[in-house]
Amino acid sequence: MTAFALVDCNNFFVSCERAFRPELESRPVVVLSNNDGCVISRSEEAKALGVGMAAPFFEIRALVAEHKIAAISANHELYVDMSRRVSAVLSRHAPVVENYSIDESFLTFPDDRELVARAHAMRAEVRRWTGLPVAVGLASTKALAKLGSDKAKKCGGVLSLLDPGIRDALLDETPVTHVWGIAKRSALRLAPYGVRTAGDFARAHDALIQSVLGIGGLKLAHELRGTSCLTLAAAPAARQSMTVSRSFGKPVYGLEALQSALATFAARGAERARRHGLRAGELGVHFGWREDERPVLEGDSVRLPPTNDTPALIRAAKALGEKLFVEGRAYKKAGIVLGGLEPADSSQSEFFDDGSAEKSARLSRTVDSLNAALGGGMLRYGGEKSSTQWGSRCDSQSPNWTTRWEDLKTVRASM
Amino acid sequence: MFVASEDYNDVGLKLDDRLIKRPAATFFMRAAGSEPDADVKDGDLLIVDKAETPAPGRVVVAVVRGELLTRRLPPGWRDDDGLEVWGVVTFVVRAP
Repeated sequence: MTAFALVDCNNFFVSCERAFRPELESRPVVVLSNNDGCVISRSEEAKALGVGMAAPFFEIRALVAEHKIAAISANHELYVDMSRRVSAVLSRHAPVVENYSIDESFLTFPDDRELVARAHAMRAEVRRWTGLPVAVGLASTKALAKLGSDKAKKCGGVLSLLDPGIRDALLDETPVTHVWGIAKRSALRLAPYGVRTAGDFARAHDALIQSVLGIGGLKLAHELRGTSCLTLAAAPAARQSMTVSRSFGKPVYGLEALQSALATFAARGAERARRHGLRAGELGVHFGWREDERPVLEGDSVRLPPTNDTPALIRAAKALGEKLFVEGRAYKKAGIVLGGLEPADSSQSEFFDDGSAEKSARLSRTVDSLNAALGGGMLRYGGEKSSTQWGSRCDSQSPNWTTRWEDLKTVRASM
Repeated sequence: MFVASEDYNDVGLKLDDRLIKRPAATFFMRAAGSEPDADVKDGDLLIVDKAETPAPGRVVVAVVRGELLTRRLPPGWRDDDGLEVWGVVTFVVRAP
């Protein structure tokens, strides 16, 4: 039997900041996204103060002032470099490491001897070499390993679900919404059948699961029962798709206004994809309006050479928008969907490379970091709409301590 | 005799090979101020290996009251002395 481990960096972005700023240790810290100033990482102290994940900065401004929470603008260049270092350490312990997202990696050990002790040793080495705390879940399947690592954060840093007793107890105390890959919407559809916990889900009949959640849901149930369906090679993308959409306050009639909205959404999507280390192989655009008092949603999509490049995604979104647009229609809603997401470092798309991709990617990253430095969304691509400013009172981005000579951390040398 | 030059692309001395034992654990830092005891001068480039084992006599980056400082570990220093070691300075790079 192969045992999977999921190594998950605790509060990854906050931990990266703390690795170079020890003064932030044991203080409440949040990291904010560059464009919209939403909380994307929280220290345990910040969680305890009631700062919610994805909370917009303006909503927590009072809390930040009252409790002297350190609010730092995200520095993805730093996080990517630290993530790379964590992977390098993990590779010393396991022959195959699958970087599932910027802060999570799956791996398998070559054999099953003393797995818990080895997981502890690996965890200690990541901490020592990089300064980052990680939690490790061990289990016979990836879905269980993920569940284990979530729990491990609260109990000693390593949790093995290889023992069926421990596994079943954890499944019974875990709400089904916390299972990897089960969205809130799916959970709502399961509720009428009395499925509330992961344990209920694992025990439900195959036919029920398949009729409600399809074959993907059934695979997940098998995984929770301990039958591995997801191998390291056939890993799903960290996210299959991401959507950015808005309903308009009042109807929009003009193509120009719609294009501007699409450009803004595409830029947000591109930034989000870069933040997660992903690129999209497909872009969809949809518009919503009402016909005979019924809402209608229509859309179309195009395949792309995989990209997370802002100008490329804006171009594709505007082209589709123009194709879908109908003069005189009172549009109430618009959105873009990035699909076919894959890790940005997988190299299968070099096919499409005409040399301009790297230049453009560099530009996108520059815009991201300038946006962070200037206070969010100050720098925009042509066509992107100027949206509400989220305001300041947030520490600026950290220097690129590990990737730029001019940004090296200074160490005081004096007696 | 003709020798294909690409066969020798990897020859030559690289400082990284010499100065960086563990790239994943190695960080570059800049010294601010001078500390003769640790042989560190203002502006020095410090190569710091977090995985290197600290020992008496080694120069380290330490965490003191939330700040990173250079220190030479005194004779008789032990791991449980209470000084939090961030990493060991393995090399100092400076113009003469």
